[in-house]
Amino acid sequence: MKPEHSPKRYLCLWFPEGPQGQRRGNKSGGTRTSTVSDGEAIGKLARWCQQFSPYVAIEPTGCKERGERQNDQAAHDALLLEIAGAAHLFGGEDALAQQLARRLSKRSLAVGIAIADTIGAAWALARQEAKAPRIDRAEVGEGHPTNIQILAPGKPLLAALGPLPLAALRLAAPTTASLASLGIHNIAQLSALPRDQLTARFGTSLLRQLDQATGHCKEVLELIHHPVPASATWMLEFPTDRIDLLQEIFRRLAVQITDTLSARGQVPLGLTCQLGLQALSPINIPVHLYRACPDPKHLASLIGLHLERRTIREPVCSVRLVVTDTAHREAHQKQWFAPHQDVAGQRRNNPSPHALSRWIERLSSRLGCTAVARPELRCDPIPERASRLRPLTRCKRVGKSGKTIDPATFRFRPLWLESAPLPLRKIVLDRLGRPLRFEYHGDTQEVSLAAGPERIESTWRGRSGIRQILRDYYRVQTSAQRRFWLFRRHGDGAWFLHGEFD
Amino acid sequence: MPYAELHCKTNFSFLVGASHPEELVARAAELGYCGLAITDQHSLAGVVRAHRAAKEADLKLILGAEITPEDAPPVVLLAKDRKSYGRLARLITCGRRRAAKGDCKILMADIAAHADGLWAAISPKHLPRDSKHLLRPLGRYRDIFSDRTSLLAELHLGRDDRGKLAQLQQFSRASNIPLLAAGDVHYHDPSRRALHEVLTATHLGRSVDQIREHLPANAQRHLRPVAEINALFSDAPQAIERTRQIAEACHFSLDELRYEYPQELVPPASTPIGYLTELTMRGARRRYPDGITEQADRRIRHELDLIGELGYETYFLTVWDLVRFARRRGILCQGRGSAANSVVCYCLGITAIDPERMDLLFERFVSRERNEAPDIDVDFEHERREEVLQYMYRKYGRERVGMTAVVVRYRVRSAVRDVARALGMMPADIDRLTKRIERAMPEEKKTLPERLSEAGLDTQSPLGRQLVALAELLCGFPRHLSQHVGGMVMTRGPLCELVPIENAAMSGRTVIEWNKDDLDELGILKVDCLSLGMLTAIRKCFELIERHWDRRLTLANIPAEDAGVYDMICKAETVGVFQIESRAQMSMLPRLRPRCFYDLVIEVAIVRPGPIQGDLVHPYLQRRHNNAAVEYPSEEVRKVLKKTLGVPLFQEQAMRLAMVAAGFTPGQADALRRAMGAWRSDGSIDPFRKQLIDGMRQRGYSAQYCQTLFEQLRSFSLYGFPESHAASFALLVYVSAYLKHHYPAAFTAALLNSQPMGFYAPAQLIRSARLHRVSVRPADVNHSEWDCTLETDKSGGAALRLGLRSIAGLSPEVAKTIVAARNGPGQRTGYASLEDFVARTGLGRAKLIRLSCADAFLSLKIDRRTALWNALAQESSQRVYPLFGQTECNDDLCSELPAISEAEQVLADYQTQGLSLRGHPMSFFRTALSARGILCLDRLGDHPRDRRAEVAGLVLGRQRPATAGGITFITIEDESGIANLILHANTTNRFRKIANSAAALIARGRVERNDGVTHLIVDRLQVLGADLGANLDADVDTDVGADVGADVGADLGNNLGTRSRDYR
Repeated sequence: MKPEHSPKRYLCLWFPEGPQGQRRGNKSGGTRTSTVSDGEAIGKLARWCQQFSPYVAIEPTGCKERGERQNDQAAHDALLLEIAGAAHLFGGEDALAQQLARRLSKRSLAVGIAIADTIGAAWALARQEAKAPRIDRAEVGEGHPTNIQILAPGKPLLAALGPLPLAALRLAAPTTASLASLGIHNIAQLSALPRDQLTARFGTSLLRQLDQATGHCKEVLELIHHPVPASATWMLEFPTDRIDLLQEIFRRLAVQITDTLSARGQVPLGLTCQLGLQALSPINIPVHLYRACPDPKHLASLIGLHLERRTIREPVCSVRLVVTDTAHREAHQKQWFAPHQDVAGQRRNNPSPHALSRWIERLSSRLGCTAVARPELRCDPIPERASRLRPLTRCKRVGKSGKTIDPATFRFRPLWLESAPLPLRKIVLDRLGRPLRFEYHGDTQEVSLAAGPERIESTWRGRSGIRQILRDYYRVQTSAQRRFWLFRRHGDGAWFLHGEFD
Repeated sequence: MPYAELHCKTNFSFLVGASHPEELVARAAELGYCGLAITDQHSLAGVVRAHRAAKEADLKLILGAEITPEDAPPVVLLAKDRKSYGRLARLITCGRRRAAKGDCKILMADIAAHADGLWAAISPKHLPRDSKHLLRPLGRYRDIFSDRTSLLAELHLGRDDRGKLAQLQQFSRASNIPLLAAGDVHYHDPSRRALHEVLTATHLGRSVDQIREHLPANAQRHLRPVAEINALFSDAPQAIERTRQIAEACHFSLDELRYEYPQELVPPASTPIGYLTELTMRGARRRYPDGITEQADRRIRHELDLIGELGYETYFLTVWDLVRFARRRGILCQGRGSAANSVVCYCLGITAIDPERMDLLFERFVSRERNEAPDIDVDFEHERREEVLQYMYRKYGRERVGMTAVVVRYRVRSAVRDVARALGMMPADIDRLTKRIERAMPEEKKTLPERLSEAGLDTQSPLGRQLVALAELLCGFPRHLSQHVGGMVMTRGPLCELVPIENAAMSGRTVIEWNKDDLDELGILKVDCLSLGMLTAIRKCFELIERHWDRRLTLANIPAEDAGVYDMICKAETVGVFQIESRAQMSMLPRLRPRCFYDLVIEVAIVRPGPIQGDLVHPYLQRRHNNAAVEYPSEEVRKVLKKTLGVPLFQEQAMRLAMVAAGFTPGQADALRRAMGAWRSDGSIDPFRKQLIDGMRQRGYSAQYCQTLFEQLRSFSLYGFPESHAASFALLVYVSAYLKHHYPAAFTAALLNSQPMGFYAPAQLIRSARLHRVSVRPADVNHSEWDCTLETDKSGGAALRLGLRSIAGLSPEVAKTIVAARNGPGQRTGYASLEDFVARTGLGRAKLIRLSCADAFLSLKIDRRTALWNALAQESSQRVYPLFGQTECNDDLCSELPAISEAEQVLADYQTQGLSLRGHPMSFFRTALSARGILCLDRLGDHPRDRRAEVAGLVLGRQRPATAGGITFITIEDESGIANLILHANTTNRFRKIANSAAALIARGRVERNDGVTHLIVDRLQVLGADLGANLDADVDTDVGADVGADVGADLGNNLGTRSRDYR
């Protein structure tokens, strides 16, 4: 059986140092630590490769035999492109390979490139350490050796693959080890063995791998596909600086994207509005929602409110909305009856549950995210750090943190806290070291009751370094029935007023 | 008002307490407490250390433990007297034995069963709002402990101390349980708070930042000044008063522990000493068949008197019983260490050295002045020691016997790891840091900042400073309890009332909570049942000799002083011989040239770090070659030092010198030895120094001699041997050398059958055997058993047949199947073909592949490749069809398989068996290596000194002795011989990966030669690997030759590494 001429051409990219390049340690021993896994990185590269061919596949495993997975590192180091109809766009296969090599080299990636009639052959050749230049070999860039091998179409593949080691067939390590023990080291030797006996010993997958490489057996490419973020763009024929026009564009674009999303069963939770200007760089307006909202009018008005805070120095020539975050529809729809009707709280006697969130979003848009916040308790004994403000629209509203704080805590903490402890002068102490009298805002306060001390101490915390806090807190009640929270700082014995109860 | 702290944890509450017991005791004494209770969680592991410190600091120590029953609030139990202490220990034992290692399961009912005499202090961790929740358990505790119950009031300057105290007082009134002030102390000083937080974080497996809610807001859990505590409890002074009352009521001290050895071995009609005397005299008549000399008799009486006076007779009887058990079972054993100083041990058969003949010093073993238990160490065969241990558990019961614990401490690396994790560093960064810190002992923490900055940490940054400071503190903290190598403790009464017993990680073993030092402190005797591989090998060799030569040898009847044996030793042909096979020993043998047994004793003792550092080796060698040069300052000194030619070499000599030259009593001399050995505290030796020098000056020795002698004693006593120990070992040296010389095949077979043991891997043992003209035959399904066996060779001598055990990955069961099917009833013939083999054994595909790869079918005229080709075609599991057993031979052959080359054969041998009888892997690279100017190893000896040379070989082993200052020794081998490489620390650092892991390497450096011993001081290392493969000079010159070569080379570099023996 002679293999008929294959109309397909495959290009394989192999990253010997992984899709993120080699992580080289610097002199002081510190190494670059990456934040993404190899799996994510190869996915990114695969999408990048779609500019060369629409058909891109991530070679799923290092070995395909018996579906065995090798370790994860081997799993993410090769890409396959089907380039039969695409190569001529880049000036032919050779030019395409050169261009890929050059551009990947700029990304500091070492890569082996091969083009052949079958997936298996391309894969095998790409991994081939160039012992002798076979057809073409180029060194591109400095320090990132690139090995390019192109096997002309229609050539007998077995002859080209013959000298390659068995590992080039995507075999499991035990199989290659067994074959090596038998003295079989390369593909030519393997193909010389009687096929029926091989099957009896190694199963059908060994021959299938061989046949797929030599083109005697078909192999299907598993292409990547990834969702495109929902977006909508409006190009203005004449640049405009009219808010009302922009407002209308926002509304129409919002309709577009909510429609796109609702087809996917999703509701926007955050989006970015990009205003293209003529000469200046575009303006990005991030909009965060407090609650997922499918109402385009509301979304448009939020963008409009943002604009009120900004000066735009040039007329706008394009508008683009991109959804940055979505929620599933179930998370949003809580009512049976159409909630849209009383948006904006038109019927005051029956305010919608969404009215509050709409209001929060509008305020945040108009005043800025950080201006609309809520206090959040934290488990920190240092009073200054016991709470902090969080922008409301940035709060993650799913999966509440399980930490509960003992309500008894609040009995001993003042409601009102000085932003910075107020130094007290003219303080008189009793013999146990508790305050008797002190001056506050010019008035002398007589202490009638004092409870304490409560010691709060911080010697070190985390990475920020050592900050010494050592205080004895007292709850005092004055003769004027005011209750204060005072503390004495250890070290210099200075007194401070930190808050007032009630 | 005086105050005693009754709730205090040490760092033996693992990952909870943040101070050593000694630190807590010292601090409590400094603060003027009237007592301190050590109450660790379900443990008494730290009490002995606290006890020792408390005696020094003169502080009243109360012993107790914090118990958390599963069905009630935690309670602190304090021991009032000896009996209640026993019950506490029993309670903990009971909880610990129920749970897995390190855990404890106790119920309220258990506490009730052991409550008698214990004081209880209940610790309400959280005060419930509903008083019923607490009052019910309080009532139950009150029922159990009646008025010995207290309610712990622990104030830590929290949010509302006064309210808390008022609430506690209310509970106290309602339940009629008085309040007891305490501090729930976790550390001795507030500065330890950070470490405590790190430990808590480690305990919870999180970082400190993640667990803030679990951490107290301040550092009040330390030992606070009494005045502060008084101020805190100003509303409840009776709670403080009660601490004093309880501290007074609990009067138990560990000094009261009366420890007795089991007595059941003594027959009813006899006393222990009477029975021991009887056994000794009976043994003496056997040991001295020509009649007991008067001197020996005097010695026996003296020893028995001292043993009786100190009450150690039952200890001796116990050891005698163990040895008797082992003998009956045919397990070889021999006492080692200082016990060989005792003629009683000799007579009882515990040791094999006659102290009378060797002139050994009994006081080194037992002395009146030293209030310390004697230490009898017995070596058993390593494969059968467990039988002896289980015998003890059986004989005395789990309640009365336990293994000594070993406290596993934080080392530098583990400390850095845990601190870094608690500080929130990323796992990858932690790995990077800790990789650079190789296994270092806690004492090496001083170099920590350097090591960490080498690893890329900025030690000046806040994070770096914290990490260094905390890791340094954490180093040396106990981490968990493990088991001692062999120390067994037995008691007459229940051991679990002396110290809690817990389960070990190894099933079938139980361990006490105290370690060796703790036992020494309390004068508790232990028997060290150690395991020694050489004893196993010797026993197996005896068995082989008996079977094949019909000669019954024992340790005792080996012919002494055989000249041929010493000739062999002098030539350093000692691979496999006990002790003198190491690199250092082999290089010493040609210089020392031992000619008699005592020379072996010296050889064993002199090649040790102590004598080497003390520079005693060269003087001894010089004097040995020129005996006349020795001068002694006096006749007494001559007597002592004559046998070692004036060089003090043994601990006994040091003691004797102090006795004869400076007038020490035997006990004082022993104290001097111990002070010299105590390297930790340099101050303790000064009084002895004065006494020694004064005494010698009075007796007319020159000041200079006094000083030299003192320095010599001091330097070697760090690591010096007792002479008795050296003699015991020398006996095994002689026996094994005798066996090697006269029965090389049997000896090698025995060594191979006792693997893993010794200094060399099977490949080197076989190589050495072949040098002694032993013919070695490969493992084969038709000839081999599991163990190596002996066959008769053509000339009638013994040939060594390798056992199936040499095939990696083959289990004894498979071997058994093969042998059984071969020799089974009705099938006396060997296997005729592979198919026959498969049909008769029923072995499956995986096992056949293993056997094929190991070339075990050679006798079927099938080479490994053909065998593998057939094996691969087999079913994964075979069934035996007896009716179809006798089928004709029709093995499937494949002519297309490439023929196997010699190089591939050798490599496959190495991969499957770690050795090859066909050749040496290095020989296949020789042409290529020679072309690069790389020398054969046997030519290194003729290489000019101080000239550069380059060599290559397989790595046999690596050593990094702690005393060698960071030097790594690597032994390499090629087809011609062995060479020693020396790597200085900076070279090791530069080629860290190769130096630590490569299986074959190329080394370049400078040749150094001392007294005929050649080393290579390496300055460059290279992996011997694939790049050479292309130049393989084997008989394959086909176009695949290069590929094969690359494979062979790569395999050489990578796969053989598992076979080298690496010691640090």
